[in-house]
This record gives sequence, C-alpha cells and structure tokens, in this order.
Amino acid sequence: MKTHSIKVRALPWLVIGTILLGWNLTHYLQVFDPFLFPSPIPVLENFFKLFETNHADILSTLEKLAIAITGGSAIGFLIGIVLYRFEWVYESFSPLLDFFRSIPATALFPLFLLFFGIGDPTNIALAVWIGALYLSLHVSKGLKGTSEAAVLMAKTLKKSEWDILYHVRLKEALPVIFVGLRTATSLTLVVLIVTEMFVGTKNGIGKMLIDASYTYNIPKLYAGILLIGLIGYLANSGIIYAEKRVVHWEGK
Amino acid sequence: MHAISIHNVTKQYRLGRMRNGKPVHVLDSVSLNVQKGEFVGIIGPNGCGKSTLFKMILGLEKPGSGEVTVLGKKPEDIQMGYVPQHSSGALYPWFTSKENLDFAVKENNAGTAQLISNKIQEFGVSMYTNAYPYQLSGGLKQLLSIARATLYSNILLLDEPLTGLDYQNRMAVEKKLLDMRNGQNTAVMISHDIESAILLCDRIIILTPKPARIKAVLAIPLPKNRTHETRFLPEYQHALSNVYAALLE
Repeated sequence: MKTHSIKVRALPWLVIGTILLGWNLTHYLQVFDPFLFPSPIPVLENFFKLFETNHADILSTLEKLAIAITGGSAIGFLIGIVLYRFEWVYESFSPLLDFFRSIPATALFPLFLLFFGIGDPTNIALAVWIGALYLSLHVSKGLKGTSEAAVLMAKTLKKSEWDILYHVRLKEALPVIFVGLRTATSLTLVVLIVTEMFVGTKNGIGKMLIDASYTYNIPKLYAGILLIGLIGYLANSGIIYAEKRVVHWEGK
Repeated sequence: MHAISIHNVTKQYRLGRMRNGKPVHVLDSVSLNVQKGEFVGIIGPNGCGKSTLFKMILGLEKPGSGEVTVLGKKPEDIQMGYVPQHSSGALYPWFTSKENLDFAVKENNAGTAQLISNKIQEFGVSMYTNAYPYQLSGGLKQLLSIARATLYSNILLLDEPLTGLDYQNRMAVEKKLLDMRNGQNTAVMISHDIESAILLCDRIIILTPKPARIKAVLAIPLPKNRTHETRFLPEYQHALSNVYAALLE
C-alpha cells in the first residue's frame, strides 16, 4: 500500500518532468520560432525572479483575489439561499441569472468601469460579480437537491425550518457548494487577470503580462503564465483540502 | 384510549408532474387500532401504501378522507419515534453517533445529556459515541437509530428495521427489539421479513396490493416475553403457517 502511495504521488512529477524534457527538446529542435518558444530554463529563471522584481504585482493580484473570492462567495451564498427559500424569487430571477451567466464577464468591463472608475475597484467588482453568479447557482441547486429521507427524518424530530435548513439541507448540499466554489474561484482568477490587462490598472500579474508582451520579454511572459497557473492550482488545492476536512463523509 | 387509531383512511395521489395527472388510489378504507404496549407488524407488497400510512401516522401527510389520531390527538401534535430503513440514511453522516442523538432532543441541557448518556449505555454503543455513521456496521447504525427514536417517545414506527442487515447484525437488533417488548413501548413495524415480524409482533396486518385494504389481521399467540428461542415453540410455527396461508390466499 505504501509502495502504491509513493508511486501514485510520484506520477504527477513524472508527467511534469516529461513535459519539461519535451519542451526543451521542442525548443532545441526549433519546431517553433525559438524566440517565441523559449527553452524552459530561462522561463524558470524568470519565474523565480518574479518574486523579487514583481512582488508588488503578485501581492496586488493575491490581495484582489482574496477580496473577490470572499465577497463573491458571501454574496453568491446569500443569493443561493434566497433562491432556494423563496420559490417565486427563483422562478422570477432564474432566467435573468442564466442570461447574465451567458454574457462573458469581460464584456461587462466597460460598464463596470463607468460605475466603479479606473483601477482596482472595477477589477474586484467584476470578479465578485462572476464568482457570485456561479456560486449562487450551485448553492440553490444543492439545497433543492436534498434527499427527501433526510428532510423527513428531521421533520419527524419536529425540527424548525431553520434547523432543517442549517443542519440538514446545507450539510447535504456542501459537496455541490464546494464544486461551485472551485468553479467560481477559477473564474474569479481568470476575470481578475484579464481585467488587469486593461487600461488603468497600476499593479497586478495581468498588467505584468501585458508589459512583458509589449517589451517582447517572452520568457517573462511564459513565467507569468506559469505563475497564474500555480496560483489557480494552489487555490483549487486549498478548496479541495478544506472540502475533505469539512465534507468528511462524502463517498463513504 | 388507543395509542394509534386509524379510522377509514383513504388516500390517492396524482401521478406525473401535471395537476391533471392520473389519480392513483393508494389506501382504501383502512381502519386499524394499536393498543398501548402492543407491537403490530404490517406486511404488504411494494408500493401498496405502507410508507404513506406511516407518513399519516407521523402527521406528515393528511388522509384524503378518514382520520388518524395518536393518543387521542392529531398526529402533528405528538412526537413519535421514527426509525427509517437503515439504507435510507437514517443517521446524518456529518454528525457523530452522539451528535445524532443530541440533534433529536429539543433542548441540550444537563438533563438531556444524562438521558442521552443512559440511552447510549442501554443500547451498548458507548464505544461508538465519537464514531461517524459511515464507520459503523449496519446493525450498530440501526441500534443507534432505535436509541434515538426512544429518546423522546414510547411510540415507535419502524420501517423494515432488519432489512439489509447480515445475520449477526440482525440478531443484535432483533434482540434489542425483543427487550423493548416490555409493555412500556408501542410499535408499528413495516416488515418484509415474516419470520422476524411474527417473533416481534402481537398482531400481523396483511395489506392487499394497491389500493391497499386490510386483507387479514392475525393475532400472534406467543408469550409476552420473547427471545430468539421462541422460534422453536410449536406456536411460532403455527403462527408462521397461518401468516403464509393468509398471504397465499
């Protein structure tokens, strides 16, 4: 079992190593223009240098991400509860929410710019918007999907609607809510990075990427992309870890 | 006063999502009285309305016509102990065994804490108070479910309490239910396990297929205090034959 565990844990590193080797070989064989497809070595060098030269940008994005995820989650959660609790609200607003979910968040940037002005408030507001939009769907669906048996048991215990909502429906909905949280977090990060590339942003990884592309600092561009992927991966891993602790009964 | 009184109850549902879906009669003129201290078994084919009958006794559904009372009052005003089928997630997996019992009481105070502690001891599940339901065997989960039900009521509704349990777990749960036949507890039990139903119950009610009517009411003339060994009595075999004969009619 221990051997199996070591093998399983080594597999992702094996894949990463293979990709790096393949990347290096592709660069060496000049399959693509070497200027546009640098070797992984300068990319990795730039990656580690980012923490020294662009730590303000990194901190700025992380701060905005934390605010946006917190705000988007709180608002999305509340909206989800309201959508579940009041059927008429769900029936009335559900088509509108589906309508807004179909509009790419970045297409709303000019509108948010008018409302919130140039800079971080617009970036954060748009990221909160998209996070809340997606999480509310998962919260309401999760609550609506509670098993009848679980609710029936609570009713035989003469529990109040609030007790049933908090102790039964919400707990049963947690797996679906966590899936929503992961989706919302990924979309929040995407929207944040993309809007940082727009005019008016002072700091951020998105701005760093645009500056790198304008100055043809290709290895730094690649390094920035790797950094975004790493942030997304760590955020996702954090949520998965929290889910395993909180929803300890899932799959058992 | 009867513990449970079901008088001429009828119920129908509409199938499908539309209001003009086809109506289906589930229960038809069912009348039944359960005395205090009595254990009554209900046997019937799948889908005949047994669970619907339970929901009416619990006050979670109203009969289409007729009346259901518990201790002379409306069912929704009385709390009864409900033990669902163990496969349907009777215990909440996010609560430990003790927390599942804590959730059942109206108020958590020193008195109820002592009550819960006594109940855990009585059911022999002290070792598992901090375990989660998914860490327990089917038999232990069922015992906890029964312990929870008896925390707040002497009137128990048991939905197939032995279904899905292996032999050892079945014996353990059956023993507990036999111990509860002490005149203090009243129980109505849905069961597909005819042998166990005869051992545990004072009367067996046989329902017809949908719309369910009472096909037969059979008294089980076995001693009041019963054990697993009661199965070896000739009266048990006789009762078993009578029930099978009624089912085959």
